[in-house]
Amino acid sequence: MDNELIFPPQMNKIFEMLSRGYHICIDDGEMYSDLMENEDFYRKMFELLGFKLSENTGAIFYFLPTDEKINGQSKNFMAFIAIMYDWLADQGKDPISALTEEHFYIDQLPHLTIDQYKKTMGQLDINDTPTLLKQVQGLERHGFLQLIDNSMIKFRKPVSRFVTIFTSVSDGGCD
Amino acid sequence: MEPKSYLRLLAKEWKLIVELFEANKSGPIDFVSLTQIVDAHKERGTDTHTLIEKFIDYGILGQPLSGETLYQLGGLTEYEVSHLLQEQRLSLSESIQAYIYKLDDLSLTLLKATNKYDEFGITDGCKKMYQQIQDIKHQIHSNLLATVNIVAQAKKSETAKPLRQRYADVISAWDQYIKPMGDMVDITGAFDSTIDSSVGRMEQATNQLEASGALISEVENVQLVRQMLHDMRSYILNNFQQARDILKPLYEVARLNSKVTRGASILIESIHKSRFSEINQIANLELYRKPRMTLVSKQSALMKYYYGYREIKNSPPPTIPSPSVIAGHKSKLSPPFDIKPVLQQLKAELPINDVVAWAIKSFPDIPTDHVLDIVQLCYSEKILTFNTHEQCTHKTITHGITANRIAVEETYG
Repeated sequence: MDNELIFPPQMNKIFEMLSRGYHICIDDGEMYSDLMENEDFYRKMFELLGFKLSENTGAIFYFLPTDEKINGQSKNFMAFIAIMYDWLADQGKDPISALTEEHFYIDQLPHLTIDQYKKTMGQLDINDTPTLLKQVQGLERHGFLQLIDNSMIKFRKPVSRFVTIFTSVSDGGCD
Repeated sequence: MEPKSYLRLLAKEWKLIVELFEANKSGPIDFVSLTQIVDAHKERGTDTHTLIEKFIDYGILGQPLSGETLYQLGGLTEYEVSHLLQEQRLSLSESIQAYIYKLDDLSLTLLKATNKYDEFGITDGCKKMYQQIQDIKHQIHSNLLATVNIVAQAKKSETAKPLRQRYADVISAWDQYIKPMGDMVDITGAFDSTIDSSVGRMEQATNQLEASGALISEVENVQLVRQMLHDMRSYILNNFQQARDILKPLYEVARLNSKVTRGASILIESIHKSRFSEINQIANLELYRKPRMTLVSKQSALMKYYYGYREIKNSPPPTIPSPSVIAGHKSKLSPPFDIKPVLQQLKAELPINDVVAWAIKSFPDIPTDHVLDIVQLCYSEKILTFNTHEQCTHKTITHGITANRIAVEETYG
């Protein structure tokens, strides 16, 4: 081929993942390093294609939504993570670091095992383990966590987005 | 009260007094709690009530409110125990500020005494300033020890005190001591100017005494106070800096964690009470949702870029088709594109010198995105090989495209 255009090596994969709503971070190895090395290129390219790459989000990359609608999934995710932080703090742990440093088994999650949280999840129609697992899988699809053997969870760095949101809630503002 | 017997009693009942000190941290102790603590920790054979009365006689215990059966540790005992345990209470920055302002007043009084050549006034002023400086230094050091203690408590993993409370203590120490104290010692704050003013008065007093030759014996005392003021300034700054450095990392963690857990609690409560509209107002996790794709593959948009999408111009509007055709296409989304017949036709006409031109010519009614879908098809079909050549311009019914010419042929081998 002559006049061949040369593009970053991970372009296809990066685009595919971002367009699924996935959050790319340092844990994503080659995709992350490609994005970091060619950030300007990707920004311009995505902009031309009508996608908006997140900015100033601390080495976490994701596509911003094109509409401002708040979907149910977003609410469910926030509830899921809020319960994790609340639960960890109640155990006397430093919730922010504990969430990303520890592993959690799905059957030991507080959402359906502790009464007060069970009621909260009930408000979101999440009343049983299969429905809860769907939330976990949704969080995994978006790159917020890694689900190991369908039984263990390891949260990934993009959960820091929730830190920003909850801090903002605490300050009385919007994210 | 004889000092020796007070110290002897303190040493003898040390364990009990430490328990009382701990209990007193939460405020005055009621009579029932007091007798329970004394009962549990007194030496065998000692009568509880007699011991309590003895403590009161020696000032180890006092009653903050007359007529009430509430008890607290006496000031001296509390100071001694806290000092020996190095568990100082953090005083507010305002108290340090008040001490320094008081020092400023004392320096003014001393200068006035110098102006009057009042020997007693100068001696007394020097003594009071000396005492005040010692008190300030003691207070600032106590605050450093208290800060160290707060940090140690907050870092303890095994403690009955909940993490949220420990973090609250850290935040409170920062907000009530470090932050305002930092403002005070800041270059624009009151600290330097007040101490400079006191130092200036001491220099003025020294010069005046030296110039007049009167009360020359007091010159040395005044100079000593001036020197102590300089020493106090660096002592305060050094101790404060240490306290700030110790507390700062934990404060950052505590502040963030407290905010996050508080925000999380607010959200949980809102969900719990079904206040969903409130949630929408206070928090939003913006998630990208993929729109319904009308194009051939998931990667169509990106493929378009490969083949010159960046060069597609829809402004100014294209000029080829008639207005009615454009209006027709603008008013609706492109229907799903059936690639099978296109592929068949494409294969039949291989090799193709310029696939964009071929697509426009073969399917004159299709919009730009479908032209690009055909180009993508050439890229994704294994049986087809494509080559890019020089740039050229094409016009679809909706756009002008400037892109590399793409020749397509059958893959051999």
